[in-house]
Amino acid sequence: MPRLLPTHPKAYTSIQYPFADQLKKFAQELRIGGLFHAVNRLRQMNHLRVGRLVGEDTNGNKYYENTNVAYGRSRWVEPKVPLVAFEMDKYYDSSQVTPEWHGWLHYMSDKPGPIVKAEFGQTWTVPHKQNPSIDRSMHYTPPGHWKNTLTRGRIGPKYEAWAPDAADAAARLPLRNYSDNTHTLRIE
Amino acid sequence: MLAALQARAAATARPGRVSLQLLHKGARGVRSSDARASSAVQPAQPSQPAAVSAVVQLDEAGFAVLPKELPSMRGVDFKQELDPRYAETIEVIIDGHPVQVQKGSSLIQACEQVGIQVPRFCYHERLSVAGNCRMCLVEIEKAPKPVAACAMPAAPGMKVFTNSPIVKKAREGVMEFLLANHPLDCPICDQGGECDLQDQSLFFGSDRGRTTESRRGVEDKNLGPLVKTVMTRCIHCTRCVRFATEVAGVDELGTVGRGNAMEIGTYVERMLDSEISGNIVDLCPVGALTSKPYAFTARPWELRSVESIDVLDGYGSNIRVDTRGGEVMRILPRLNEDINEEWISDKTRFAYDGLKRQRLDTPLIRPDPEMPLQPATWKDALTLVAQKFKATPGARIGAFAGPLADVESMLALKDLCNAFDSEAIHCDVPAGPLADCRAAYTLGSTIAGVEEADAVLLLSTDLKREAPLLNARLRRRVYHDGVRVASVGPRVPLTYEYEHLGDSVSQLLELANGTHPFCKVLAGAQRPLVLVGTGAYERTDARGVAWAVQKLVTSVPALIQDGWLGFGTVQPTAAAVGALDLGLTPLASSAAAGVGASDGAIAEPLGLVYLLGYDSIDLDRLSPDAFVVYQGHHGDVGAETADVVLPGSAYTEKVGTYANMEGRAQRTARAVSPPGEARDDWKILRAISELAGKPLPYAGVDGIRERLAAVAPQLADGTESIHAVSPDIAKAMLAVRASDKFDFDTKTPFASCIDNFYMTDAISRASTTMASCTKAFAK
Amino acid sequence: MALRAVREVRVLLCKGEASAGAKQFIVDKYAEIKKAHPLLPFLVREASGAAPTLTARFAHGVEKVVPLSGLSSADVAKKLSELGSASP
Repeated sequence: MPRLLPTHPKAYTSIQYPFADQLKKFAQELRIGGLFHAVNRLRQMNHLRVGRLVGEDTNGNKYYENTNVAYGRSRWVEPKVPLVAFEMDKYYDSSQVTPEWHGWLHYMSDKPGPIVKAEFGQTWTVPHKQNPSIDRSMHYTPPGHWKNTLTRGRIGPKYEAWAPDAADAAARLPLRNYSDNTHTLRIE
Repeated sequence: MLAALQARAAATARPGRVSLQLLHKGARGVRSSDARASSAVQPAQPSQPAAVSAVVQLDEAGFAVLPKELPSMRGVDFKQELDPRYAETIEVIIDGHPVQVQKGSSLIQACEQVGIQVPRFCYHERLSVAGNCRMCLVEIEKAPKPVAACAMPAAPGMKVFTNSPIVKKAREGVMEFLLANHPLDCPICDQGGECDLQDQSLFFGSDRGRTTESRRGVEDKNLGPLVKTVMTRCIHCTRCVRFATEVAGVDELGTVGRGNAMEIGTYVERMLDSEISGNIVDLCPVGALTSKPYAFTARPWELRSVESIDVLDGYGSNIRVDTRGGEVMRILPRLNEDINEEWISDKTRFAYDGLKRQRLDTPLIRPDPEMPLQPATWKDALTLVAQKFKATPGARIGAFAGPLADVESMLALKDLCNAFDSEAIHCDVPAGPLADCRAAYTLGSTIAGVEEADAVLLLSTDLKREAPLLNARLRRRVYHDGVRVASVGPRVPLTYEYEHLGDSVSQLLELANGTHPFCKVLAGAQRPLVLVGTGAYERTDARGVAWAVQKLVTSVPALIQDGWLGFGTVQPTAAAVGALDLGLTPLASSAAAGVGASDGAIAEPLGLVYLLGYDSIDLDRLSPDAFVVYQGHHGDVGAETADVVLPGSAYTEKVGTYANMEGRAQRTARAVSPPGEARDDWKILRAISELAGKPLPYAGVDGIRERLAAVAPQLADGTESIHAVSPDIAKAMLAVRASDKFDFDTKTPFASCIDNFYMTDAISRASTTMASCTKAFAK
Repeated sequence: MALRAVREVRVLLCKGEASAGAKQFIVDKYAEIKKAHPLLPFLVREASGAAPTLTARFAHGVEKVVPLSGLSSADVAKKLSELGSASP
């Protein structure tokens, strides 16, 4: 067996969180949901970390901070995911983080959500919506995509022929209009 | 100068801006930063003549060493053409070369005469000098600072440098200031691709910006349904203000505020109420003023241009039709110093969307008078029409040519009807003085010649609406030279001050008899001008009015003299002069555009009526058994009453000759194909003649042009020149008047022949833009 | 001048000396022709470079063309009366 080189005492090790804390967290999860849930959570999150609960946002995500850990790993969010959720992706997407907490979570500022809301909040702000594309059926596809049942809108004729009868005129496609693309997006 | 302007206009996307193509081909030394960046640094070498080397030489200062030749010397396709009226020249030294330039020209004009285009934003040859953009700065030896070339007159012995380091630095600085407050709108701005700011910043600006502050924003102004304004992009060159004040004569545009807070607009929300307001879209060097109907529809590099003539009024403006994918996207003016200079009227510019609506694209036949029109084949429709021609006796065949008919189709129609022994071929012109003499129905002095008149009498014409560009020329005469203009007709605002003598026939009779005080003015003038609108002949006493007009014209000897024919009729339609030249009969006034009455003769009710785009048909006068054939391009009144509809082509879809109001024959060009089954008009008539057993003697374009040369050579020579009437013939023929006594209707005032400027023919009636203009301007 | 059968008369003139006679004819005789035949279209058109001609159109579009180059005013009058009296 080759002799391992000695590591520097301050070298980076893969386990950044104190083991005692991890055990504490595992025990906590056991108490909440049982063994299956705890093992599941370990599998999903890769490591169990303990931190100070800084706050919670309107979507139910909890934001934790542990300043003893390296910069870049000290703040995280724990989403509100059902207990026995096997695939977290179906329930959690990064875009569920609300704008007030986004800055704090990504180390852009030190102001957590309520302070950001108080300082920068406006009455006209629309409630935050997550990226709808997480749900593949809601994923945006342009008209004419093979998934869509609606075909791409027809652009209309270059000229409108004169119809002696007004009834014929009503049944025709409207003249094409380049400055306004409402007809080309979707026509039922 | 003229050749330079023409070369410039032919090469550019829009006529109102600097051609930088001339800069590419001509003054190669104008590039500064890209030359520096792309070349290796070499020690300055003595100047090499002519041949452009691949590597640019640099001097000690790091600037490119310029080729020591001016474009005018290099024999590039550039000819210096001096205006013969100002042929005196002085010597100026431009970039080290002594050259002769016109006396009285400014430095910017002097440089243009030798082929150097000094960049500018606010200077325009047809407007007064403002000097506020500072982009045209050039260096003069022994001057403390660079001077604005547009404002500095050229003095003999002046040494001008157009490319020295100071000038380059000045240009880069001006560009930087202009771009500091300019929004980053290029992707959404309609002017992208043909923007003066884009081009000049590429050639004369520096390669990086230093702006870190936020930019100012300005509210958009509402100037009407034609001009779209995004005033944040405005660089305050004031070209639009000067145009509106000087050329269009409306004082509504102005500047408010100073410095950074300056805004251009109407201050109180008013629309630009002028028939030539669309030209500010061409003038604006940036995308602040753009065409609203054209907004967001096309980019200039996608468009294919065709040079053509406008037929929506009788002026014959030269236009450029831009098309993409077989549809007309926009219409721009072409330079023609004699007719429309660089402007076109709003109807010409914006009525092109009428070309897409209500088009006739298949032949239609009405099988029964009660039933609607049904689509048919060409063979069936033409055979039916030919049968009717054979069956109807000549005295009962009548033809009517509309306002948009071209000369070739009217000639074919006349030949066809004459072959079937019919003489009733009418055109959509009210009967004035006899059309035997050309001077009776054309603008004798020519459009450019109007600028030499020194006393003008307008008769029954609203010149601002019938011929807005002619009105602009008269305005120039009034305000530059103080010419007296008097009008007997509707009291309308004409953008300049004129004397309104009255609006009834009694004033005309007084003038004709010589008892009116204005007769002295006419008699005392060396070049008097009498302009008659066709509204004078749309009255019940039209023959009397024509008699009085002829009397007036022959009573003032200076009106018809050698080299000056001061009598003109302002024809509002493009087909009028061509029709009368060919010998079509004008409509009798008493018939009032009815059917079946010619001048004096008692006509039988017509059995076959052939309408060539004629939509003013009076349905009451149509006999119930008349068979109506309509040949045209829009489904208007004429097509609704017809029994057979034959689809022809509009003016952008055919090569047709049109004679404008001064008698100049110009040809339209084919920009797009006619829609559906539509064909050229004269070819339809030729086909009918063949099916009817009397084929016309021409089957191709050369044939019909030969025939035209035999019938009306003044329309056929293809040189777009005017063949003037000899003064003695004009005098002799205009003196022939009926000696009847006439009853004059003194109660009805003289009116203009146009009541709605925006809707005068089938194409403008079908246009949604013209409809919104009618609603907005409430005329 | 008997022009009963003629439906239309077209006189094409040029700018030079060749049509001087025709011009003189028009200046002198147009008034009386018009008085005699007020409804006859007598079109006079000038173009530089055109050959001076006289065209008379009869029924059914039949046209007779007579060149007038170099003729005097009396000759032109003679040609016109010839055309008028000739059968179409």
